[in-house]
This record gives sequence, C-alpha cells and structure tokens, in this order.
Amino acid sequence: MPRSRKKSTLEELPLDLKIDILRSLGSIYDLESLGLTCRTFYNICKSPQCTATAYRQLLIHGDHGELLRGVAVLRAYGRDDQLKLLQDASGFPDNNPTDNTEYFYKLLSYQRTVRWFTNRFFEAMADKYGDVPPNSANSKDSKSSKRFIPSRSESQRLDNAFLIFWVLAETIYLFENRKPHGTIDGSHIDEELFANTDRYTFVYILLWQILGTSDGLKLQLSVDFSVICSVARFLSGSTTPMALRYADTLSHEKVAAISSKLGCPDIYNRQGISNLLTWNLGLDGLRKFLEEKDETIQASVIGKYYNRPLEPRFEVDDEEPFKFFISCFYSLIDGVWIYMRDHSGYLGNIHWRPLWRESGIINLLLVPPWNQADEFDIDAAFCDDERLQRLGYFRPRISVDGEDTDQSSLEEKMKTDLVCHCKEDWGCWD
Amino acid sequence: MSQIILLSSDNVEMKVDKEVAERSILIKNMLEDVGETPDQAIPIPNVNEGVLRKVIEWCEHHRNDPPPPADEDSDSRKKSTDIEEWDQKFMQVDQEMLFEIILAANYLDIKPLLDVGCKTVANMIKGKSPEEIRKTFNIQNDFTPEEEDQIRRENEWAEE
Repeated sequence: MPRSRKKSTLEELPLDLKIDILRSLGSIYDLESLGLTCRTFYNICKSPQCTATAYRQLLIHGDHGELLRGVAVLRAYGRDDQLKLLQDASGFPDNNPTDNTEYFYKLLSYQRTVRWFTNRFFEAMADKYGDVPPNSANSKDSKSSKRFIPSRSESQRLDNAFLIFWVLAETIYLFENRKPHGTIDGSHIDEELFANTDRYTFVYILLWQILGTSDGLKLQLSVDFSVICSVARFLSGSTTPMALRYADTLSHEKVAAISSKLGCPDIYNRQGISNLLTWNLGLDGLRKFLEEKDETIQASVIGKYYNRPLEPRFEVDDEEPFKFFISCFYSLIDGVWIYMRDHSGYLGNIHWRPLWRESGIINLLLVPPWNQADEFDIDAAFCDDERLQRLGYFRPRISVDGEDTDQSSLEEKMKTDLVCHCKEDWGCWD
Repeated sequence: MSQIILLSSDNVEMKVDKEVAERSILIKNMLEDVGETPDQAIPIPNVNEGVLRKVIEWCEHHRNDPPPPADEDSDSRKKSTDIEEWDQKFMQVDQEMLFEIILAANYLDIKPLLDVGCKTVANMIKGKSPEEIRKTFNIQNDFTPEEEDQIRRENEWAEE
C-alpha cells in the first residue's frame, strides 16, 4: 500500500519538467534506475508520455541504438522485404528515425524482447551467482531461494550480448535464405559475396557493413565474446527440454537417418535445434516459442525445422555441413575470432574478461575463451568484478604469444567436453 | 542601450539590459505586446531575488548566443549530457537553487537555460543505482520489498 510521505524537490517538479530531465539522461538504464526509486518515477516511466518522448529519445540514440537499428535493417531486408538493397540501410527508415513512430515501436519491441531474455538469464543464473536475500537467510532451502539482483552494468552487458546474438542470428538467416541473384548490386554487399563467401567472412563483412565504420574497418560496437558464448549456452539450455521431448516421439528409422547426416543426434537435439530455432524465428519468435504453453504447438515448430539436415533447402558450402546445424553460433564466433586474430587491425572492439576459478593460471590472449584451460568459467564473465570477488574468482596472469596452448576448434571441444547420450546403435561420431 | 526593470516576487527591483531580458521569451513577448520600453517594473511573481539574479547572470553571459534550433530532436539533444564549462560552473549551486533555476527558466521560457538545468540533474542521476539516486535527491522508497522485487524482475517500462 502507498505510504504517505513528504516528496522530494525532484518529485515535486511539474510533469513536463520531469519528462525533460528523463529525456536528458542519455541511457535507458538511468531511466530504469530512476523508475526504481519510488512510485512517482515508476509511474512516470510507465506512462505513455514517457514512452513517446524520453524512452524514444533514449532508445534510438542511447546505449544500444546501433544494435537495435542493426536488427531492424537486417529484418527489413531479409524477412520483411522493406529494403530492396542492403546498401540502402544507411538511410533506413529515414534520416530522422525519431519522426517514424512505426519504426520506433519496432525498436521498442526488440528492446522488450531482449530484456525478457536478459531477465530469464538472470533467473537461470541465480543459483550459481546469486545471493540469498537477507530476510530468507535462515531458510532451510537457501539454495533455491537465491536471487540474482543485477547491477546496471550487468543488465547492460546482457542486453548488449543478446542484441549482438540477435544480429548474428539475423545475419545467418540472411545467408541461409540468400535472395536470388540480381537483387543485390551494392558496392560492398554484392552477388559475388553472397555466392562465394564462406559463412564467417560473410557474417563478419555484414556486421561491418551494418554495425561498423569504414574508417579502419572496425566494428562500432563493443563485443564481449565470453558473454555472447554464455548467451548461446543459455538459449540452448532453454530449448533443450522441448527438443528432447520431440525427439522421443521419433521412430528409430528417423533417428538413424538424422544420425547418418549429423553424426551425433543427441548434440543435435541439445544444440542444433536451438540454433535452427534462433536464426529462423529470431529472438522475438523464440520468445513466443518459449512462452507457448501448448506442447503440441511447440512440437510442431520444432518438427518444422528438425528435418533440415535431411532436406537442405539451399546449397551449403562447408565440407561437413552438418556441423553448422550442431554448433552454429559457437563455431561462427570461433571463426570470427580467428579471422580477427589473423587480421589484427580488426581486433579493436573485441574483448573478453579473463576470469578464473583458480589462482595462478596463465591467460592466453590469442586463444578464444572457450579454448582456454578448464578453470576458465565463461558463464561468470557477465558478472561485475565486485560480485566475482565475493564469489572467490581470480584474475589470471596474461600471456600474449600462447605457444603451448590448446588450439583445438570448438567442434573438437564439443565432441570431447559434452557428454553424449546417443544410443549405441546410432553410430555417433564414428 | 535601453534598460528595463524587473520586479522579483519578494519586491526587489533589478535593472537589466532589454537585450539580456529578452533571452526570456515570456518577457520578450510582454515587451512586444506593450510596444515600447516600459517605465514601470515588470513583475516576475514566481521568481525571488536570489534566483532572478542567477537567471540574469546566465542571460548576461549568453546574450549573444544564437537562438536555439526549433527541432527538439536535433543533434544538440542527442549529446544529452554535454554542458559547456561555464554553464557547469554556473550550475554548481545547492539543489534547492538548482531546481529553482529550472522552474524559473521554465516560467520565463528560457529554453537553453532549462536545457542546461535538466542536463545538470540528468548528470547527477547518470550511472547511479536506485539507492544512490534516492540518497542524492532525498527520495523516500515507498515500494514494499515485494513490489520492488517484482519491478526489478520485469522492468520493461514502456507500455505496448
């Protein structure tokens, strides 16, 4: 119940002045922090007036505006046919997007989708990285009552990673559903690129095209690969129960047919289906899928994509195309990392947080995070330093050359690290 | 150069160059309505002496500034928390005065000053946690713990 109290001077300002202040904040995270202070600002932040002015300003020009616009451009070209030429993206949808209400509400819906995933992520991480609230410290079941209350920077980090992941997903969708020749004649994204480029180069060039700058060929956004990898694992974990449930309904013949193409049906169920769903549905479609209460509808969605390795809709360029379905985002990120490592000028905004569960470990700068020693905890990289110190994590010593390192690809690591539950007669990884 | 007299809410008269006073759109319109420079003091009933002196000081410093752009979404708004050095020093006042200046700028219709005031408050919020913001502005938390938890979990502010 509302408590009667004396309001602060800031609260007592007229509404239009409060909205003016909100517009000046520069970040939706500041807006959200202010909204958490009291009912007055909570109600203002929820008001249509705030949405129409302050939120619009902060969403388009704020922290993730570049990424949100990137998602919008890729969808407009790849899915909605609103853009005939990707090169027109620079002016999409017009020079002053704040005037375009329809466009703003699209960006807003993307932001809301990303925040939904971020909140679910924090819930999933509560047991491992959360805290027991003070009022339940004596509870017998303290583990299950742990809660993860994110800081502003942790929310920002996860929103950013989910958005980058979404951009990657839309880019893969674009690549896998390449438009017919002749529709693309731009100077950078041309037919030859679509026809001949491998996925990694294609994705990287598209990222650069949409989210980069021609000055020094650097991405404008800051990419933390550790958190993106953690996001990929989270999404796989979210869809795995549904995929396994669906797989249990398949005949032995069907599984055997899948096995002949994929090698390991179990990893396909746990990783590959998640990848297929993510790039085909987009994060907004994946959210609807995860929120669906009717298991038969979920099964029909999975079934729609399950046969893809048996009935490829397009020409694939890998020597072993099945791998792409299994480890899509991991191997893609691995590939982009290697590409950037070999083109050191591109490395500008790529980084990751070296954190270790044991002290005295050497951190190898040129080796992707997932190929470091096992003591590296990728999942922890989304946490703030203060939280990690509290949890007993260490910072490693740094080595740049990294000669005697595990340079194995992620494909190899998946085979060795994951526990496979395939039945013996499926002939997994022969 | 012609001068006019402004009368604060606590009945203190202040002589100001007309050009300086006309940084206020309210005063400018009043003078245009009168048609000539008035002999009598112009009452400013909502602004006391101390605040009015600060506002005049700001107008004096910015007397030659070009008029602000009509487009509110122009680039000048995108760099939301950029404030000129002089304005930053000018705004180094206690919170009561800061909010009084904002209210006065709003009443007198001096958009650039209002903008500086709002940006100053925005900078005081920037990067802070809810608890730090409460401390900074003496805001009392009127949520129940359950409500606060629920809001944190589903902080999707904008309505569909």
